[in-house]
Amino acid sequence: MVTALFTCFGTVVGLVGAVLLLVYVVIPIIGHVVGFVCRLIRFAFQELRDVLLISIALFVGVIKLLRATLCVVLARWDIVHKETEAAKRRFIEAYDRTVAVFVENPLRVIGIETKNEKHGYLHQVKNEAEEAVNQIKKVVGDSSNPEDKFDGYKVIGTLPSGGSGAKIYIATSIKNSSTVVIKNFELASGSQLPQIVRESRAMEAAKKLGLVIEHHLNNNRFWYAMPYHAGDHLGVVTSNLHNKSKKLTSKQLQTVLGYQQTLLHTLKEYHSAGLWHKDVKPENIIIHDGSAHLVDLGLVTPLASAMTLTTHGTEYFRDPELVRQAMRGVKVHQVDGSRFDVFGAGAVLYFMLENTFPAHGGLSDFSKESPESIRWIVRRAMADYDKRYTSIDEMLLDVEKVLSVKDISTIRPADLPSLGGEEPKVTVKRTTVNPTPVSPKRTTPSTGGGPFGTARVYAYKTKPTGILAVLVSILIGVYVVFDVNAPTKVSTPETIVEVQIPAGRILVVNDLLSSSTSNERKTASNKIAELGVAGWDLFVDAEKEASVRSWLPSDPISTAVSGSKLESENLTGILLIKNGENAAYKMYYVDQNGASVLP
Amino acid sequence: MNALTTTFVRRLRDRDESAWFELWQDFGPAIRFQLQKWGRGRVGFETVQDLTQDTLAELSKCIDRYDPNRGARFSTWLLSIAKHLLGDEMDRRNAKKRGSGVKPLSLDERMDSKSAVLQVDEIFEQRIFGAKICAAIRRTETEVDFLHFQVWRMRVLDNKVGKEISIQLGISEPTVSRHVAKIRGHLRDTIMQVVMQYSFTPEEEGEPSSAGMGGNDSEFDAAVSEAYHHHQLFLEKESARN
Repeated sequence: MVTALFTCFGTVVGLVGAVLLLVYVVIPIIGHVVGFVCRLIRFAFQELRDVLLISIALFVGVIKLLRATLCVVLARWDIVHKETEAAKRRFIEAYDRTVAVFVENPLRVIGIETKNEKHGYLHQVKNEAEEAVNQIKKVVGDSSNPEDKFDGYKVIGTLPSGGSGAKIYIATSIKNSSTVVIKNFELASGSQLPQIVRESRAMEAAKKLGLVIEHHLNNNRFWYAMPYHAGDHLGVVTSNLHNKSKKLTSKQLQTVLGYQQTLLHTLKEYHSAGLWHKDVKPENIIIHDGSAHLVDLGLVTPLASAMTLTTHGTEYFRDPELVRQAMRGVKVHQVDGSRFDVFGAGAVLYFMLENTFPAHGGLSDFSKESPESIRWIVRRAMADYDKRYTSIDEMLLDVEKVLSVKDISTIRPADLPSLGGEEPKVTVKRTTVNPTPVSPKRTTPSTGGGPFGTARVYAYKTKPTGILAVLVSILIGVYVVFDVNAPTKVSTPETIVEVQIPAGRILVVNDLLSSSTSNERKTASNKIAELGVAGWDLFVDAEKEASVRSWLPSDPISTAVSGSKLESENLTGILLIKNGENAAYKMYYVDQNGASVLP
Repeated sequence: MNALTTTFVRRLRDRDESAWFELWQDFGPAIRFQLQKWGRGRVGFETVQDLTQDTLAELSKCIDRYDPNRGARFSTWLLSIAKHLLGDEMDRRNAKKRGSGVKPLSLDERMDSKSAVLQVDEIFEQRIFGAKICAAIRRTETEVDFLHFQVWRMRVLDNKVGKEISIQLGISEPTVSRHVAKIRGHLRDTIMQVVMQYSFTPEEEGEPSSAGMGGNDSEFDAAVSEAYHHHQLFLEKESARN
């Protein structure tokens, strides 16, 4: 029994001893042996690799040195520096690898790691990589964790940036899970202060339309959230439409006009709120749920703004007249900005019909088959500033008229309401774009309508009122001709006459007293701007004015000025501004034929 | 130079922005195209835009030095400025690469240098002529009634028959003819004005006649339509490249 117990104990001890021997002696020895063999194999590979790379590094280094020498001969100093730097790096690499071949790699075989990477080429390469990453971060901005950037929102994606320098994110609201678009301007990410100022102005305007959900501004950045419309932009949708067939079918034309209709309704709401979009183009129109949603509020401007017009916008969709007026320094309120949106809307319709830009503006040719009535709408919208639709409403009526018929090809331009045709009886349904109530038109007082204020309605059908007017004119003419006893009219310089636009340069001479009210001076300056817009070649030049004043009669209104004097000054006439009665200003056009008061 | 040209030149000299914009609108595409062709991908679109603007700005500056005795055409003059500016840009880039201060040639030096004798190709001439005709059409459109112009446009540029136009617009055929004749007369005068404005040599002034615009009404219409459609094609190509 005892023997059996000892035997059992001996067996257990033996087994435990064997296991311990295996774990602590045999396995480590095998591990070391295997490790040593592996290190030997690695050593062989490393030696082979390093020997090969030493020769390559030396070869490249020598080549770089030769290039540097050549650049010295060619006097291309900036390249010399680059080449010598590169050669230096290669030689350092060769040196490091040589050390590795003779010292580090053999030591590694016996398990000693000696490499000090701080001075090695690998460290240099690592530094370069880190520097490159930092540079990229500097350029594109640190995009690490954009989720934390916007309080109350979780960023779920990004959208391509436009030309405004902002970053655009898609985010969901933590409060109500709605999806929004966030436009973020950061000075650190390359946004410019003027862009931020312009965008914040536009955003203030767009808030009226309920297009901005919330906004935040601090010293470094400005961001705002807008409703998100998932979908492709009109450029993609149009391209898909045209890819299906060479010619747009009647149904496709209905679709195109449907998009146009919703776009026009949106623009109408902008204009009713006293705003204009200023950047109507296919990329800014998102097709979602069969409706066209106008996005990008970056250039939205109040129609009554006192700012000077700018040329911002997109070529082919921006009216050339806008550029012309901007170059003349015309103020926004002196033109009807909504008509520039009409041009953009016409250009967008052209784009949908032709699948290309209107490269020739209003003169662009139609190469694809389309009904004459739709072409007419495009041409009317893209016509000259004073000949196009006077409002989006007018254009919308025409579009709805075409949409109201079953077969679009049957409708003629003559049937369009703008050409005297009947208005559509049934209002075509559309998707509501902006549910927020809009503010009254022209929220700030306009200081002058300018020559653009008068609306010209083009109705080419003869109307009875016209015939009546002609008859009345004939009767008045007969009365005047036969009224021989009537006293002869004496024309005085004070008679207000319609002055033809003079063909040449006109110097502005301002004789308004300093006591004139600022309102009066402002009205006079608006009038000058209006004349400029109407085509008068006006200019202000202090030197020329001084020279003109030296020979200008003391009362140029009653005394004619000398034609030769005007010619010697290279002038066609003078625009004289004087104080009239009750401190109101009076404006005279003076040339060798006398003076005329401008209305 | 004729009186119209000198008036325009005077406006340019006086830094009249609208005169500059006229140049940009009418001749910008042709110059852009030529610069891109010369640049052969070495200059990007933005640089081409800048160089085109510079060309037209330079035109308004150096127009004072124009010497009619050289007999250079308006188109040649434009082209030489564009080429000078492009050369200047390339010199500047090369100088930057070399790090040396190689001074670019002045416009006059470049114009006088034998190596830079400009060979204006026929296509460029056609584009400049097309630009002049389209400028005249645009000017006519501005000056006349919208309906009258559209009638002419449908008849001449869209090549529609009088009867079809009368049905489409709800007017009689004689009215169509009357409107077309009215616009044609206006356009004849405007073409002469525009061509005279942008012409430095008698040869350039005679271009409309050579293109068949001096003939009877149908010849005139056909020639205008051809010039317009050529230019339209060119503009489409040019915009597609950008």
